[in-house]
Formats: sequence, structure tokens, C-alpha cells
Amino acid sequence: MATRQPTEEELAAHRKRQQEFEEAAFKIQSLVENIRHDPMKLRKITLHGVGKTRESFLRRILEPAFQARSLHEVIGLSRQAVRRMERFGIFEDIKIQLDSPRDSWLRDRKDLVDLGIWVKEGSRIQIRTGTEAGNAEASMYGALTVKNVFGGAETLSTSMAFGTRTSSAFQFALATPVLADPDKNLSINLYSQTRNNTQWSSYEEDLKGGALKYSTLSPFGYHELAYEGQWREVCRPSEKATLTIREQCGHSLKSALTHMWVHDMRDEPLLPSTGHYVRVIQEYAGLGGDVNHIRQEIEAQVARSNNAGYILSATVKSGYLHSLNGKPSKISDRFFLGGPMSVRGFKSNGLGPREGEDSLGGDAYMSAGVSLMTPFPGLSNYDSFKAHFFANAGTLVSVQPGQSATKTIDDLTKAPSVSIGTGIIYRHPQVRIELNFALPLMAAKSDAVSRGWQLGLGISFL
Amino acid sequence: MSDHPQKDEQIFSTTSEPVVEFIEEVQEDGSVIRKKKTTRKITKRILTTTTSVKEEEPDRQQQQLEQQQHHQHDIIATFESSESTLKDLSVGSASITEGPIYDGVHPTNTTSTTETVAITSSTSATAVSSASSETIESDEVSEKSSSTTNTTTTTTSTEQSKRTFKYGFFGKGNADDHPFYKFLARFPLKQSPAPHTRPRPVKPTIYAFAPGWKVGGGSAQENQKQESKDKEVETEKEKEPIVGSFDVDSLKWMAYLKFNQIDYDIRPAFEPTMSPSGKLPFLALPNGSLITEDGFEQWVQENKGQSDEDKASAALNIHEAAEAVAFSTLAESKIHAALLYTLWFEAPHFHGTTRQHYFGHHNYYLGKLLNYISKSNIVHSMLLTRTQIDRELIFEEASAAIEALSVQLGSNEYFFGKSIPSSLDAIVFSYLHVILTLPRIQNAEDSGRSGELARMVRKHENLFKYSQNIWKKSFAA
Repeated sequence: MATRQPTEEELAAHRKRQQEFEEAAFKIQSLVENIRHDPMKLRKITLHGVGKTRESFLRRILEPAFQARSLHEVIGLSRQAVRRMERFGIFEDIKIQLDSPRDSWLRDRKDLVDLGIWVKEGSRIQIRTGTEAGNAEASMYGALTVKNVFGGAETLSTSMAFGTRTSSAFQFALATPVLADPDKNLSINLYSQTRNNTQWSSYEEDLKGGALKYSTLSPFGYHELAYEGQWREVCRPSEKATLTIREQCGHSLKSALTHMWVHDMRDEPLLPSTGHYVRVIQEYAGLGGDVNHIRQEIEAQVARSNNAGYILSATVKSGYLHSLNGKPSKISDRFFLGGPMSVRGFKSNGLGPREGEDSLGGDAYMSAGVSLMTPFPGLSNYDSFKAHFFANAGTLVSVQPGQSATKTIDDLTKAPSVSIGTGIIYRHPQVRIELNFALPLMAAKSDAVSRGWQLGLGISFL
Repeated sequence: MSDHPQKDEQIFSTTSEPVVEFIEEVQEDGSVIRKKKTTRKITKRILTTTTSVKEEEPDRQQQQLEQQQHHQHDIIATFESSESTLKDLSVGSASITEGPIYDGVHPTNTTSTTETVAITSSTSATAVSSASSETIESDEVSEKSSSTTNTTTTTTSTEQSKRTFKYGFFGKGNADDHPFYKFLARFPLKQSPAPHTRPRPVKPTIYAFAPGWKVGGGSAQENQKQESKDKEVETEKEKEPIVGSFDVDSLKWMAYLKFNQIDYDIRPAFEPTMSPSGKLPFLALPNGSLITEDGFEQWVQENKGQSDEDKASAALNIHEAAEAVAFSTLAESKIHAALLYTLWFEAPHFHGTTRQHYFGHHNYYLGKLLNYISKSNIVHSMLLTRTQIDRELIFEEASAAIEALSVQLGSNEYFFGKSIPSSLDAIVFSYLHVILTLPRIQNAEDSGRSGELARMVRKHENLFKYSQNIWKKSFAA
């Protein structure tokens, strides 16, 4: 349909309407400007459409709105309260309306305002099935989630997953916000998993346990405090398992307190181009149970880029497991290093103490990686493809109980395993896929090197 | 000797039958030393054999084979400390020393080839070795009776190193095939020693439930407590060696090894899952292989250290062999059932003795849980052969079996009047010993029920003495 040129009259009418709109908007704005600092209070909040949500819970969310003393504050605090309500994820739709009080004897009062909130509660039960890919593993899962179970935005979820690395996992979790604050969360998890480590260490591990977690946000970042009790069994060594792995078979109980702090200022987690990231995890195991240790892990990443699509990023990861009762560590607690997502150029979990073809894990490690990502020649229009040049290094050592710290540091620094290489990265919305050609420059004799092509699929890379 | 480069490119792995020879040599001082030679040729996974192999004339006698061989250290890493053990092999023991056989050659670990490994063991004292690392190659078995022949190789990682590895994208590769592989084979440019090495055991090690009910404390937990107590006291005296076992199968193996004069180390283990067959005990040989129930009897027969006369006297004729099978079956079904009942169904033993010894190293509550799980497994297995678990019937049958054994033994030292104990002796002894050394429960509630099996055995003096005698001779000595 051909648009004909608007006539002169139509243009003039249009301009006139616009002018009227602007004048009216200006009038309302100035009206509000004049009275916004006038004393005004919120007298009543009415919620419509609430069926299952608890009144006490909603009262806690909306309580701060009653602190308003002027129109400006009323509007601001009401908006904040509604934002909080939205963040719980239990309401599909929220609309607010500010109005003067309806009651007849308050008609003259100019300083009171009523707030009306219309909500539509979301559906409670959700069933999801699907597949997901994580760090070096893929799995299928089915999950049942019930939201707002007890009326206070609690979430109950049970899920079942079968995957390559975690061969089966069942989890039951109940999470609830604390004091109606969407940032604070308390949850109970019960799980039963089987991990399949036969590829790099020739054993399987059965884990059953429960955890009580409390997570919150602070000016420093995200904190998570947890108590975890776990019954793990190292079992089913494969035919070729070596004696050291066989001697690790058996049950153990771990009862531990964990604290995790995450400070993430990157623009995005899969392929960050600006920002920095710090994560510190500490675990103290010893409140009962068989293992008594302190386990600490630190990860830091920084990324810088320029407008032409060149990104330089550097990552450092380090961990230390310190046994407190003089007994050597168990393989279930140790660290593993190496692989397409850790030090590239080596097989998965190929670094560190090994016996035969089995990786025994270590008690202390340091690893660092530097990556330069450039626009891929020929595909510079697609921002998801990047050419990749990297250098990775790492060391994993075992620590005898009672060993001096200087010896540990000496072991960590004297013979690092270093690799360099190049490749291509594809940033899929959910995962990062890397195809690298890596060459190890320095390695220990027992390291499982992987010269040449290596495919990595996951979320967090070195 | 001609250097004869071979260019075989086959991949196979075979083990020949062991050839056992006894050689008697007269020494200078007139004494006669008998030496035992076991020769096995093991050819493993020859990826390429591009090495110079010295051909040997069949009757050449030479003291040492030394060959220069280019290959890598990697495989050797775990065996470096074994060199010191290749000395002082005692005459008469059947300890086996060999050139190392490495399990699981790493495909991408560029391994050197020549995997024809000739394993010889002899009971003489000298060990060769300028070995800093291993692999041997010789084309055929050649050994002198007085020395182990380990062709030792020094490693020189030079450009001529024959590194081979499989390379998916370009097909299986060899350094010689493609210049690209040659380039890749240079990486890693620098190698440092392996961080973990496990010293090779000298003697076969049996992983078994140990020690016995009372000796040394019993369970691993008490063993540890004893160890810590020892440390506090700062003992100069020797820690009590671990002797015997509280588990029938483990004790049976230990007794059988002792009867055949095979020297072994004991490693206390309490997790049946660690064994390749899922059941303890199992035997870990110095060459890395593991022997489970299936191959145990055969292995012992191959490696026993008895003299010819002993063997002749110990051999059972066909009637005796048949009777031995009958009696061992009797013991293993009837007495075993009664013993299982006593350990797992008599409450004081179940909550006390059995739990402490089988699961004492765990947390208390976990131990109790595992105890109950074990008991339900035992119930399941017992119900496979009988319709119900009837105490009266089980003990009646056990009593009859014990009586039959007692009558058969008579006043002999060992069954069938032999002077050397046989496998039947090992089986019967292990049952009797475990039953007799069960801790007695002094408990009014129990009123002696749990001690019934022990009483049944004690009724027969000859069995009691027999068990004591074997213990004294073979274990307590």
C-alpha cells in the first residue's frame, strides 16, 4: 500500500496534538513537582488476587512502604516493594495504583494515599525435563518444582539426572527466603549421587548426604554458608585399578562447614571481556565424621578488551587441603588438575600424582592461564567466534601430613607443567565450546599429555 | 653378536608357560646349593620393534646383556626404587624377582618398543643392574643360572627416540612415518621426574582381614590405638607383628601359604570392594598382578617352596584326594553355616565382636548400619541353600561334621597321616582356629549360647590339639 504524502492540514493537526500532549504532560509534571515534597502518608495497602501467599509474608515485604512521608517517597517505596515482590518469582503480573482514600470521612484529608496492588499468582507446579551440558559432562534430567509451597515463596524441588560424569543423581531441595528478603535464602538439600571416575582414576563414588545452606548478598558480593554431611563410598574399582586406588576403597563420613564468597563484576560468565571475578571457598571438616581437614580454594579472573574485539584474560586458581589429624587425605577430598577446561594440553585430570594410568589427586595445586582472544579471520562479523591463543601452567602435588610449608611451596614451584596453543572458541548462549591445538612444553614424566587437538565444552575455563 | 634391527610392526601380547628348573651346584666349600629357575617369556604389546636386538646363540653363556636402547623414562618412573630389591634373594624361597612388567602401557606416553620382556628369576644373590630404568629386551630366554639377566637400558632422549603414539586425526602414527609426528614427538620439551612413586613390594602381599580376634587388639581401630600408644611409649621393642586373621577365608590363605613355605607380607584390609573379585583376601604379587580366589590354588602350586621329598610325601593318592574333597566340602558348608550363625545371629557377637572387627574402623553409627546391611546379605545367601535358618538344625549338622572330622583325624598330626599339611588341613585349621579363639561372652543373658560352637569343638581333644599345634608351628613361631 503506497503511503501518500500527508497533506498540509494533517501535518498541522498532528503538530497541534503533539503540542497539547506536551503541555498536558508538563502541567502534570509541574503539579507533581510542586506537591512531591508535601507531607503525605500511605494509609492502606490493599492486595487483590492473592490466594495462597501468606499475609505475614506480604506484610513483611510491604512494611517499608509505610515509612513514606511525602508523595515522592510514597511513589518510590511503593515501587521498591513491588520490585521485591516480583523478584520472588511467584507472581506473574503485578499492577499498582495510588489513589486518595475511598472512605467518606477521609475525603478532605489531602495527606493520605491508598495503594492498591493487583497480582496474579503464577502456577505452582512446574515439571521440566531436558538435557544440559556442564563442565566436561552432559546429562539428562527431570525436575519437579513446586513454588510457594507454604505461602512464603518457598520452593520445593526434586530432580533426577543421569549423565556422563555423574551417572545418577537424585536431589530433593527445599528453599525459603529469609525474612521476606529475596536476597537471603535458606535451603535444605538431600541428595544421592553416583560419580563415575573410571576414566581417569578407575573407581566410582557413591555419595549420599544433606546440606543446610544460607546465602546472602553483601556489599562485598555473594556469600554462602553451609553445613554439609556426606556419606561417601569409593567402590567398584575397575579391572585395571592400581593398588593405591584399591586401598582407597571404602566408606567415609564427612561433616563440614563451608563458606563461599563470590564477587563477580564481569560482563558475562562464559566469555568475559571486561571486569574481574573472585571466588573463595573454604571448608572445615571435623564436626564428627571420619575426615578432619581444612580445604581452601581460590579462583580469580580478570579480563580486558578493546573495541576491536580483542580480549585478554587471565585466570589464577589455587587450592590447598590441610589435614588436621595427621592422617593422609582421602581421594574423595583431593584436587584434580588438567584437561580441556583446566590446564589445556593434558588429559582430563592428567596432572599430579599418578600411578599407572590412575590419577591419584593431590593436596595442593596452583594453576594459571592467560588467553588472548581475537576476532576470527573471516568470521569477524560473528562475535561468538573468536580465535584463541593461550598459555597455561599448573602443578598438583600431594602433601604429607606434618610437612613443612616451605617444602610444599617448593614442590609447587619447582616443576610446573606448562602448555601453549591456539584454537577457536565458539560462545553458545549456554556453553562455551573450544577447539584447541595444544602443545605441552614442560611436563612431569607421569603426566598424561594430550598433544594436538582438544575439544572443551563447559562453563568455566582456565 | 650382531645387531639385527627388526622392523616388526605387530601388536600382540602373550605369556608363555613358566618353565621351572632346579639346578644343583656344588660350591667351593663343598656345600650344594639348589637353585630354582622360573622362566617366563612375556611379549607385550609390541607397537614397533625398531630396536637393535642382539641375537643370541642358544648355548651362549654370558653374564650380562647390555644394550643401548633409546627410549623414555616415563614408564620406568614407578619402578626406580625396585633396583635395590633385586638383591639377596634367599635360597629356598620362591620369591620372584623379575624385570618389571609395566601394566597399562600408555598409548600417548611415547613408549619405547621392544616389549619382548624375558623374565627370569633365580635364587642366586647377585643382581645385575646398572639399571636406572628398565625395559628389557631379549629375543629369547637366555639366562645364566647365577644371575638375573636384566638388560638394562639407559635412556637417552635424543632425536632418535622411538616415540610412538596413536593419533586419531592422522591415523595411528609412528615417529618415522610422518615428519609431523616427529615434530610432535619432541613435546614436551622438558620433563621432570614423576611426583609419586610407589615402592615395589619384595614379597607377595596378601590383603586380608587381620590380625586375629585377640592378637594385637583385633580390629584396625584397635590396631591404630595400639600404634598410637606405642608411639607415646616410644617403644624400642618391635611392634607386634601382625599374625593370623579373624576371617576364615583369610586365615585359610595364610595357612596354605605357610604350609607351602611361601613367604609373604600381610597388609590389613577391611573393605571387600577393593579386591578384583569383590571378596577379601587377595594376593598382590611383586610383578603387579593380583591373584584372587580363582587362581590362588594354582599359583601356590606353581610357586611352592617345598623339596621333592616333601612334595612326594604330601601328595595324596586318589582315594585320599577324593576324601579330602568330601571333608573340605563338609567343613565349608556345615561348619561354615554354624560359624556364620554364631557370628551374625547371636546378639552379643553380632553387636560386639563381629561389628568391631569387620567395621570397627568406621564411625560407630556407620559401622552399625553396615553391620545390619552385611547381616541381611548373609541371610540372603544362607537362604539360597536352605528354606529357613533353623538354629537347632544348623548346630546339629555342625556337630556331626565336627565329629566326622575328629574321627578322620584320629591321633595323626595332619589329616591322612601325612607329615606335611595339605589344603584340607588349611581349611579345617582355619575354621577351628577362628571358632576356638572367638572371645567368650560372660553374660547372664546369653547364658552360654554364643559359646556353643566353641564348646562343640573343644569336646574333641584331638581337634583342639591339632589346631593349637598348627598355630604354634606355622604362625606363632
